[in-house]
Amino acid sequence: MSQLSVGEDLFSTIAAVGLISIFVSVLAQVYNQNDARIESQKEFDITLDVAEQLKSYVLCESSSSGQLGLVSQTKFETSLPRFLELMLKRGVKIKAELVSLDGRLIACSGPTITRDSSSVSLPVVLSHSDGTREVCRLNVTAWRK
Amino acid sequence: MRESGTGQIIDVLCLAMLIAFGSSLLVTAHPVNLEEHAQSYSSSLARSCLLSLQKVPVNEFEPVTYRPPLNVGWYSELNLKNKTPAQLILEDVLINPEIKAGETLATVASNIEFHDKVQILLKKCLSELVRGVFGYRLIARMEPVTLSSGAELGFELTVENIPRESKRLCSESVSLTLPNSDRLPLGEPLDPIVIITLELWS
Repeated sequence: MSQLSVGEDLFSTIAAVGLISIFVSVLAQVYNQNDARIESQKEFDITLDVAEQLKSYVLCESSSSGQLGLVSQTKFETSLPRFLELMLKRGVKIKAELVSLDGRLIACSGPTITRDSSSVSLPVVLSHSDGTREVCRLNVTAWRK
Repeated sequence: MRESGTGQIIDVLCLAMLIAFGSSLLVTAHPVNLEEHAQSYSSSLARSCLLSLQKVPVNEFEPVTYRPPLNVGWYSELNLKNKTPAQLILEDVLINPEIKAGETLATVASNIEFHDKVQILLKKCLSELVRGVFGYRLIARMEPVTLSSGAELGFELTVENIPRESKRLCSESVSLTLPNSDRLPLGEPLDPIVIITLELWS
């Protein structure tokens, strides 16, 4: 029992070490993928949350004006930069743009996108100063610094 | 010696099987549920679509005209370009309600052409708003109102474009009241509510 059988023991050891190495590498890869997915999910949640806030509060006309739920271009130019600054202080960069249904860029604010990031597009109703309304898409991209 | 070696090989094979099984579980595992992304986004999209249907004039999508069925020897065609799709649904409820008396279902369709136009408009609106990202089903339903004769007055309109083998992701609703209840072919005070539900499907 205590005798060494060179061929079989060596084979067993190599096989065991090889299999354990494969297992460890698979485990490491899965953990990395999981981290990337969680990070991606957090970024997506942030992007969606930001888009909702922009659509419902930041870009929205006040309820007293009777324009509840409507996005105004004036708000896009006045309120949005302050909001972007505030989010930047919290470590989140945001780019927001208003695009008409035929693809015309109406307004854009925020830094240039430098890496892969989550993006959300929601339909909003843009209220013009002359009282007319237009359906647009609010495209929001957010990423962490 | 030979028996010991064989035993070790069997042990290693068992270990290999266990490790292969463990690895396959890890590889196939999806710790982050990607469906949650789709659900949260679709809910937000559905709410935005419903808001757009209430706020945007139909002229943004497709002009709709309406010819009232008046037997006065002349007619005028109304251009409804400044009404919203939601307002047109309410108009459709007023113009084309359903009456159910016992097992009999009848439509008081005074202008079925208008009903068809509203359906076409809603399809166009939803195609523009959802943009093929999801399948959709819009249901406009008036809660049944019981008349003095015992009959029930109701309304249901469904517009859908759902891919095969798809799954419902979300359902958002908005309740609207009829703008002018006394225009219903009744003589009773009614306060009917029309519920517009938008479902998005993956």
